[in-house]
Parts: sequence; structure tokens; C-alpha cells
Amino acid sequence: MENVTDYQHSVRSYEHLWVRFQQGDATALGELSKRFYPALLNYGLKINSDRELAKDILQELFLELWTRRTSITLPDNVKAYLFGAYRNKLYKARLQTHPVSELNELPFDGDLVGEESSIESSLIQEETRNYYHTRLSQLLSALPKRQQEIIFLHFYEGLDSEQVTKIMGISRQGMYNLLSRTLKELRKVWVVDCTPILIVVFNLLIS
Amino acid sequence: MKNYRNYEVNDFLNDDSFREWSRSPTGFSASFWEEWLVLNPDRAEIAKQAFTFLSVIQDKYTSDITIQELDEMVDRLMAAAVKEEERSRRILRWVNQQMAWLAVALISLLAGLGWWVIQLTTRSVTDRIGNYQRWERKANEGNKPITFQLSDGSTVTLEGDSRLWYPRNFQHARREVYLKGKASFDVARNEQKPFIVYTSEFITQVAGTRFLVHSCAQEGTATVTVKSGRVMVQPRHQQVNPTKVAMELTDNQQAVYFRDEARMEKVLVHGLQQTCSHPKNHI
Repeated sequence: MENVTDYQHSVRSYEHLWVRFQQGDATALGELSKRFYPALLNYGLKINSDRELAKDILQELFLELWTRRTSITLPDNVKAYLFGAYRNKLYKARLQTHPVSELNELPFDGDLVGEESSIESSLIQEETRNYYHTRLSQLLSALPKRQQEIIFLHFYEGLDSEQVTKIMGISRQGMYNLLSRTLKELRKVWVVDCTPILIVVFNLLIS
Repeated sequence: MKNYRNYEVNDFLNDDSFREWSRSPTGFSASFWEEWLVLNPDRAEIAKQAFTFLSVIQDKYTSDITIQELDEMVDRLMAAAVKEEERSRRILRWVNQQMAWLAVALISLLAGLGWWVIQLTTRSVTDRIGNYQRWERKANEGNKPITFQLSDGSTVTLEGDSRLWYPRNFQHARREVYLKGKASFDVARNEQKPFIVYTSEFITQVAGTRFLVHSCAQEGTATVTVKSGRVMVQPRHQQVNPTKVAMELTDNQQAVYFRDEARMEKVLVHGLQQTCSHPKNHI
């Protein structure tokens, strides 16, 4: 299995690509999908672990964008726009198969809770893979899914807090409330050595 | 060059180069950060904390999607997009076709409507024009009689030194002709359109018959002679009240009009006079 996480971060400006896409350039559609499919599908699989469904919904999203391309305006941030649109479609699809009550129970990244990932080993990786590392990973997994989603979008995908609130459809205040409540809950069980960095993370997100 | 010595954990977390290093610890920023950690041992703990957090995140959320999987998805998307394009083009073509048909239908409808309106407005005009008959004049300056046919099929034998005005086509309710001189008529039968011969003295009306009208300006009398059929004759002077003085003639009867007396008389005839007796003949 080849890991493809790297090339999703390489390009930061997609406006020119979007313009070509809107003009009906099929190669622009190809480039857009090549650039965003890895990150989007990775995100989609965290929300919905049904791999084929997540893929189908992603394909559907891009095909819809393609057919409606003339009526869509250039988004402020192409990446954030795609993440938000994909998220909406995923949740709509979930609503069709799951009752609303169940929806809130589902953890973000449900299938990977407590699982050690198979990232390639390196010297530094090995050094830091200590107790601290494991403990932090466990604490993050224990976070409610919406907090995990925020952390994923911000620290993994590098989207700023404004884009994160837009994607998740929450207000800045809502994001603050979510995090502070969780922080309070987790403080009871956190070990001391993990607390400083989580406070840093928290401050970073609400800043 | 950024001063990483002043960086706190959150600064490192937001630094592109640092993040890149945490994502791929053996990548292009690795040598820089490894060296930096060696050169700044007092800040190493802060950087390490940030690195750990990011690598935990990286580990935790890393993608297990393969390039093959993605390539397959992109290929499928492109195929679907092409198909979609084809479909929308077909729809567009269909719509255009429908529009074209609609346009043709509309134009035909408008043309038809226009034609109808034109017909409606011009019909009355042609009717009026139709009422205005084109008149022909036939003159026989010689001595020999000329026989010719009118548009309704009636035959006229115009004697010498006589003239007849008649419509090229009989379009009115009555077939009217004007005679100066002498002519015999063999009228085609048409009860709906009575045939009327006007002379300066008579109005002679028939439905269908053979008769002879003699109205020579130089003579003292004018006559209408009937060979066969039934003819109504009335003197022109009495036109104001024609029914009272109208005279009915049948076979071999003749109406004689005496110019001086403005009197009309019915007589029986056995032979028909042929020509106007020209004044020259009397000299």
C-alpha cells in the first residue's frame, strides 16, 4: 500500500484551476479531483467508514459540481468549500440510513479508535513514540467526534479556524463552547504531562 | 529567516515548514529541523512537544487510501463527466430542435394568420374592384354584320354602323350591355342574371331568348324584335316608373318606339330589318 498523504498539501492556490473548471475544461476537473480526492476521501472515511459509500458520494459531489459548474461562483477557499460540500453530502446520506438519535452517538474516525496507525518508522518517530505519544493519542480518541473533527481539519488539513467553522456549520462561539466543555470534562482524567499541550491546542483554536 | 528560538508550541504548530517536517520526518525539511534541534537544545523540548502533537495527529488521521484506488476513482469520474457532457449536449440539441420546430410552427402560424388577415381585408377590396367591371367596346364601322360571343356565352350579331359596350366579364347581378345601332342577341339562359340591353330609347330585359334591337340615331323609330322567347321592353324615359309601361314581347313581336311622339307600340313582324338605313342612303 502506497501512502498518498503528501501530495495533497502541495498546491495552495486553486483559483486558476477552478476558473478553467468552470469554463468546462475537463482536464481541470481531472486535476481538481486528483488534488482533492486524497484529502476529501480521507476526511469522508472519518465521517462515514463505509468506504464504497464515501467514494460514491465523493464522485457524486464532483459530478454535480461539473454539471452545475456555470452556476457556482468561485469560493473564497476551494479546499474549504469542497470539504464543506462533501461533509454536507455525507451527513445527508447518513440521515437517510440512520435515525437522528444515532447520529450524535457516532464518533469521528470511529473505526480507528485506539488503533495504532501504520505510519512508516523513522528514527525521530521511534524516539517520540513514547508514553506521552500514546497517551495523547488515547486522549484525542476519547474526545467527542466534533472536537476530533475540529482538530482533524485544523491540525491535519491545515485549515484555519474560520474555515473550520464554515465547513462544520458552527459559529465561532459554538466552537469555543464545544471545546471548553470538553476540556473541562477531560481535565478530570488527563494526566498532568498532557495538559499543557491540550491547553495550547485549545487556545490556538479559539484565537 | 524566522527566529524559531522565540517560538512557542502553538507557533510551531502553525509553521508550514515545521508541519511539513512532522508530516514527513524524512522529507525535505528534515535536515533543517534536525540541525536546528541540535543547535538549540534549550528550545528542543518545546519543538518536540509540538512535533509529538502533530505526529500523533498525523498518525491518527493518516490516510490509508492507495494511489491505485484514487486513480480508479478519477478515471471513473472523468468517464462519467464525459458521459454527462454528452448527455447535456444531447439534451441541448434536443431542446434546440424543439425550439426550431416551435419557431417553424410559430412562423407558419403567424404567416397563416397574416395571410388570413390580408385575405379578410383585401377580399372586400377585391369585391369592390370586382364590382367595377372592365368594359369593352365593339364597333362595327362597315356594312357587314359581325357576330361575336360575350363572356356568359350569349351571341351578339352587330350590324353595320353599330356599337356595343359590354363588360369583359359579367360580375354584377344583371348582365347589362349598351347598344347604339342595331344588333341581334341570342342570350344564354340564366334566370339569376337577367340580360339587359340599354339603348337610348329602350331597356330590354330577357332571361334567354333571341331578339333584335334596332336603335339607329338617324331614324325616327327604334325597334326591338323578338324571334323567340320572352322579352320585357320599357322605354328609357319612363324609367322612373318602369313597371307600368313595360311591354312584354314574345315570338315575332316587335316593339316600335316613335321618337317624335315618345310612344311605344307593339306590332307583329314576319321579316327582320337588317341594317340601319344610313342618312347617306337617303340622299
